[in-house]
Amino acid sequence: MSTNIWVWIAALLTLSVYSFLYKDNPIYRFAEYLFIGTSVGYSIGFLYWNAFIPRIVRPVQAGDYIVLIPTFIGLLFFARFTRKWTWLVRYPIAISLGIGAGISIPLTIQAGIFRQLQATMVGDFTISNIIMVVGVICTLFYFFFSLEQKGVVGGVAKTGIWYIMIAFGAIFGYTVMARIALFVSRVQFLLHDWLGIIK
Amino acid sequence: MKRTFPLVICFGGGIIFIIQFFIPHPVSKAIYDEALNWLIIVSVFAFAIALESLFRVHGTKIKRRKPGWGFSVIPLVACITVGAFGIIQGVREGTVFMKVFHYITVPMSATVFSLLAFYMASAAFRAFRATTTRATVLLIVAFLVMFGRVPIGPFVWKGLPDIIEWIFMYPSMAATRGIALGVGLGIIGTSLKIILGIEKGWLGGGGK
Amino acid sequence: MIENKTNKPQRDGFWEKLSKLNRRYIYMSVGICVIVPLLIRMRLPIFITPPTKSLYNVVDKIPPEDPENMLIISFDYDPSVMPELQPMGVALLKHCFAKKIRVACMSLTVMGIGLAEMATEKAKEEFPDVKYGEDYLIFAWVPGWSIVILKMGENIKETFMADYAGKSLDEFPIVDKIHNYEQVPALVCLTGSSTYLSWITYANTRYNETICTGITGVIAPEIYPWLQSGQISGMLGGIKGAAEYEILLKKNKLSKVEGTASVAMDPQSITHLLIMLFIVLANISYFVIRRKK
Repeated sequence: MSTNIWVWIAALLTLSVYSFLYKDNPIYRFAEYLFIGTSVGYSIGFLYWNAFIPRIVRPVQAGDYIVLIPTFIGLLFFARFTRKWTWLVRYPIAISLGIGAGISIPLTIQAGIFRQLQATMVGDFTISNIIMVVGVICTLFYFFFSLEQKGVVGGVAKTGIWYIMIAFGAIFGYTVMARIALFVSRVQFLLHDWLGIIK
Repeated sequence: MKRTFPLVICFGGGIIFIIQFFIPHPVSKAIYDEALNWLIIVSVFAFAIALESLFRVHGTKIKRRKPGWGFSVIPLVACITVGAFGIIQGVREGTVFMKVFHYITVPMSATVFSLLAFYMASAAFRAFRATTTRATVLLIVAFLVMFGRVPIGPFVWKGLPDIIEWIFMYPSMAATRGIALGVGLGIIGTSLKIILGIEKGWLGGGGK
Repeated sequence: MIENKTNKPQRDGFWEKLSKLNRRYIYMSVGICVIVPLLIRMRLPIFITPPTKSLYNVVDKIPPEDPENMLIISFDYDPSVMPELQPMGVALLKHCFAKKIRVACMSLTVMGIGLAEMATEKAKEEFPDVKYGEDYLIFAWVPGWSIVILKMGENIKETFMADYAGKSLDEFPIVDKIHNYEQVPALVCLTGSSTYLSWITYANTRYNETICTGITGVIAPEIYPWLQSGQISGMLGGIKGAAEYEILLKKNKLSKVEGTASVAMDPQSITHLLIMLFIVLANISYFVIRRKK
């Protein structure tokens, strides 16, 4: 059994969260609220040492005063704390959104559309590849709402649903694994790190 | 000033950086590089939004003595204490700040999400019904993946991993690619709407 | 109780009772199916899938002890999905430490930095001689997501400026000759969200960087289109992917310690069987009751 007080804290908090499985209770609530607070506090610490000091303080100390301009724009985010000046927050958001959107458009066209379509146009006509190409077309038709899904269009779209069902089945199978993995890990912590029962 | 200027800035920034992509001139590259620097610094302060939200939600609960307001003291005290430890003591390994992260934040976050294992099992029992042919297909594929992706499946039948890999690589991939293409088009459409000022949700409602 | 066609109340049979099973019995059986296989190990063999093998080969080909070659692992996740992704990070770090490949950790999410630190500490238990700043490094967390990825393509040192504890990068010899993606033969993004898409769009498309990913099981099927197109060069899918990587390390004598993901595969097998049993029983119960009605 662990003699580390921190491991005990972690173990007791873990058990208090699991108490929720029986029913909602104040111990679970305490753990949940504590988690929210420590998460934000953690971000403050890293923001200070990883971003504020190296990106703003050190350059200003070295005489690079130009960083004060984006700093001023960034400080406008704090306008959220006031009712009168809250609209000022739109300026840093406008800059980030505008430039971000501008940069993303040509790259998304290239990565998400052209390269994906190129990979679908396989020259090798094996049965598997034909199944894949048909599937991509049918799935796209299913999500194409500008035409009424009747007749040929409807038939193609319906085939798309079959493909989507296969994908959802695959996703469900993997999701089961993912969710169980979360619980297994906590049990490993309790049995190994805390109680020392398993190696 | 309150609505038009931000829209103009958003439009200008967007158009300039679409054009910049096609002009690999040193001046254009220098502007691009400096813009990235500025954006990182601006993003540093975006955290203020999360902070404001935490203090507003829990501060209001405490101020108005709403039911369960006592619990709202916990996140505020924890946030200030942990943040102060981080700033004063640093964030290196071995500090109280990192110990709190290792032994409080990490286990609680992981445990809260691990509850999903139980809910998923319960939901599978109560809701997963093969009532239609399509639902049956979904069920069969899910069973194949559940059985074949863990060691017990191939232990029973060695050919199973190949079948599952084929499902992932062809029919399932076809559907996910169709969805991915839709997502790509969606990103492009939304980005264009933001730049052109058609999508204005980000302006919010305050201070019209 | 259900009512038959003549409206006579009828006692609940087995299937009716089963359909109303208290959720706590389900929870309890999940708990048992996880705990027992951890106590009594079956050690079923773990097979290796092609995407894992591809990722392993990408990392393995990075020249060791070369100041102009470095692997970057991006821990783009938070503790909620850590059980699936943390063993991947540890296994990748062990691979680098064993082969003396220089490695840097980073994260697009602030929580990921703390998790990267935890992963390096775990990997160092088996390789205590590796030195921080010479063999590996943890970059500072920089806000900005896609902007960070783009900036790395121009200048990595200028992007991060400091290590995770706030020390200037000029103090660390490991990054002396690292300028941009040209000195990073591959980047592995560990994620439970859509950051992989940002890495593909900005690092792979704009800078031709080789991207691999370690991904949560929920998202794993979404990666296949990008694997097939070659925009992603290798993938670890969920806890199974992590276990496969641990097995590859053991097979190639790069690690002697059994990883947590490999240990987790026995409870996975049993719990999967349990959930399949639940679904089958629930369906039988549903159809039996429907026929009676």
